[in-house]
Amino acid sequence: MVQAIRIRIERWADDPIVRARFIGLLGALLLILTNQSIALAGDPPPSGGMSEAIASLAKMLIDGIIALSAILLAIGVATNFITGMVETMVGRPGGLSTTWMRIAGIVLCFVGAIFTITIANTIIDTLKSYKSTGGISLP
Amino acid sequence: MIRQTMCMVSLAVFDPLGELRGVVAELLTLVIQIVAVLLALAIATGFLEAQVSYVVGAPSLLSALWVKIGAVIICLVIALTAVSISNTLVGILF
Repeated sequence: MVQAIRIRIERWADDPIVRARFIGLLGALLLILTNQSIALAGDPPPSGGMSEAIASLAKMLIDGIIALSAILLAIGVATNFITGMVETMVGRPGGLSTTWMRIAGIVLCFVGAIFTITIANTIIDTLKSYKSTGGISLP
Repeated sequence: MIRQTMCMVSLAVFDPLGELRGVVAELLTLVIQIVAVLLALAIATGFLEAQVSYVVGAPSLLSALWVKIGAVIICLVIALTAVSISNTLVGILF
């Protein structure tokens, strides 16, 4: 009996197809046993969906833009005052008034960047009433 | 329950494209949200661009910003009224 089983196992081991299937089955069993976990059949974790994800992504991008804008504000003030100082030094003091105008523009742009979300919300809230509410007509 | 199911079945029978209409409406809502987000991003990037232009000494780009914001607002209005525009065109053409 034992001899017959042994002969059969040796015959299976000689067959490459059977050997490959056996190794694959062992691998699958190993994966099943190592990846055991509790199945969560309850409600999915609360999330806002696609619109919330888009809004948070946009807010993140706008925060980055505001940070860049603050850096540019500092750079702009410094470089423009250097420019005004050089122009005054070399005998063209009118350049200093240009500096004030440029700095005013930079501050204006910075304020615009800071209030981006407020501006966008105002525009969207104003235009929201124009949104189509009816159904879609098909020919 | 049975009555509700019957109503749904009758609706499905009388309006075979109802599901398609629902999908299109959801898609349009998503598109409108994306356009609104793009409006905010356009304002932010526009002001940043104008600020860069001021820093480097070419302040005329600020005037281009207002045109850009106006174009984005027009795009938002068109996206919001897409269904009305579509219905009007369908009503005119068919």
